[in-house]
Amino acid sequence: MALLNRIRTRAELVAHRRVRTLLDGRHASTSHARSLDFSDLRAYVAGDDVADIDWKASARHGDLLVKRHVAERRAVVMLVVDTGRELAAAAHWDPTATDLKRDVAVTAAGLVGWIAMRAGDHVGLVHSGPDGPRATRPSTREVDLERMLEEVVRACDPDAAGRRTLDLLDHASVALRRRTLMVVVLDDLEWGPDVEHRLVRLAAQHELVVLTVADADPTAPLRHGIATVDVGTRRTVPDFVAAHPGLVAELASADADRKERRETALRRLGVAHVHLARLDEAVPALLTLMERRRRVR
Amino acid sequence: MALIQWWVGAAVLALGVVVGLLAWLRPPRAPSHPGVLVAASERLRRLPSWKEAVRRESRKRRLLVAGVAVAIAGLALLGSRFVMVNEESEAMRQRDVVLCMDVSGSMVPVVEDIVDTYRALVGELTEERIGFVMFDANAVTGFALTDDHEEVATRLAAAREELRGEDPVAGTTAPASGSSLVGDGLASCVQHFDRPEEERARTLVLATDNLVSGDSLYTLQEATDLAVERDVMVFAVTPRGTQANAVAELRGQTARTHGDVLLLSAGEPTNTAVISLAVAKQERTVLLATAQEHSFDVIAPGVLITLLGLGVVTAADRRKP
Repeated sequence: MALLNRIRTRAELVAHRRVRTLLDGRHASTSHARSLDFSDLRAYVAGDDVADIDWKASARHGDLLVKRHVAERRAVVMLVVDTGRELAAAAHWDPTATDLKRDVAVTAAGLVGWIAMRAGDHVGLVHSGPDGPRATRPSTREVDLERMLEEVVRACDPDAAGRRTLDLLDHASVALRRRTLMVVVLDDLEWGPDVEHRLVRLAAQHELVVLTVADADPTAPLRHGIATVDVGTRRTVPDFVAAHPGLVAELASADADRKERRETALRRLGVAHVHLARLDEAVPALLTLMERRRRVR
Repeated sequence: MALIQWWVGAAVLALGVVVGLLAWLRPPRAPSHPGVLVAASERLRRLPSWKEAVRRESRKRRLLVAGVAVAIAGLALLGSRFVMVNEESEAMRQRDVVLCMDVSGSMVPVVEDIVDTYRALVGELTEERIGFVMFDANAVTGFALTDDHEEVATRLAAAREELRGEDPVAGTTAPASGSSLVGDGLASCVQHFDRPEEERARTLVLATDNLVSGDSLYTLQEATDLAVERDVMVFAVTPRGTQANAVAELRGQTARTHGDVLLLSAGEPTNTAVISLAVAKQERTVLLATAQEHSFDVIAPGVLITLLGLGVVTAADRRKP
């Protein structure tokens, strides 16, 4: 439970009170269905199952009454993590700390999963494993969540395969029939119509939350004389780029542009989104996002 | 002009080429520090400034490589010891020429021609030290070895005037011992070369008809032995019409010093040029052979080329991106 404990500690350190209040608001299902938990009675309408008629109450009341039950079904939270060796790279670098994208992604997904589990929901995982996209059965047990997070970490090894975002999103939309709360953790990708189409489809099928993990500025370590290696090509980034201030500025503005385009597109789709660059900021940003979603309900 | 240690230079160049090839062929070094992993670094290549940055960097590196190559070439030149050997002025400064003139009575008809020959010769030889000795029974120094050529010309002109007169040259006569003692004269002239310890080209132009009368201390052969011993090359200038056996003796003795006999016709102005040219030419060939010992390293080009290369390297390295 190492990963989950770390996430829990981080969450409780950062915002103990906020997490408590978030957990207080357990979202019981409002849909009515069959279960052992009796809710209330209502008048019989044509088409109701005869087995649901409460005969004793009907006898007392005079009209036919039907028992209503609290739905046993809980919400399912699917963590869709776009794993691959790209996530082994840095999300943020400064001379004192390197935040890996993998850690940011695991922290974000783990936090959402843990909060959902505490609320009694099922949590499942879809990620790109060594043999392609893979869905893990939703579970309510924290041990299973820990195992899922470990799988994510394993799939984000520097020696793992590269990410296959489109395959993963296709798989997520095909493999999951039930409507879920789907938390999609994406890389800092170049936004294009192919990704957007798939997200439109997922947004129709599920309740969608998109988390994106930033790419670090490759020139930042170079400016401090530290070598930078591309995780995809395994080649060092030429160090002369750091000595070219125009290039550094252009990169920063290109990254900001990409982020802006992505946020605009997601806003247009009406998908809740947060961009995560630093580990310290990940938990507060996620909590803010979730509080906002609660209020909307 | 030669590279006397050319193999050292070749080794430096070969080493430079080998190191360059190894650096070129070796796979890029894995960074000692594991380095920060980043993703999508290729997005740098899509930036508009990327080409400019690469162009600037490659220009800088080309300059660095060129600078190192030039520096290595300079070092190779230094290592191969570039030496100059045939600088004529260098060799000529090492030459002493003593004009040794028989002023006995038998020579009177041709003295002016001989002095003219000497003057023409002096006009030809601009960088030698020149001395002038006259002898009959005794040798008298006209002037000591000097490189002041104006003075030489003045003194020769004065000697010409003096010889034109009736009286013999003061100090040259010694009736007791005879006259025209060629052997003694030659020996005196040979001893006239100063700085015997230095390795210099010594040339003696002996003008005589080889008509000896009287007892000389040195025979011509003994005097020539002395000349050979002191590495003096003796040229003889003899008036045409001298006795054949005298000329033959002169020719035999001068040949031992690698010299020659040149015949002089009275009253013919052209032959002076012929003689001076012949003397100068023969002297030069001999001098070239001796001058090879006096090679000197020319380090300025190597040092300058190396400094130029290092300067280029420093400038390229310091250049602001």
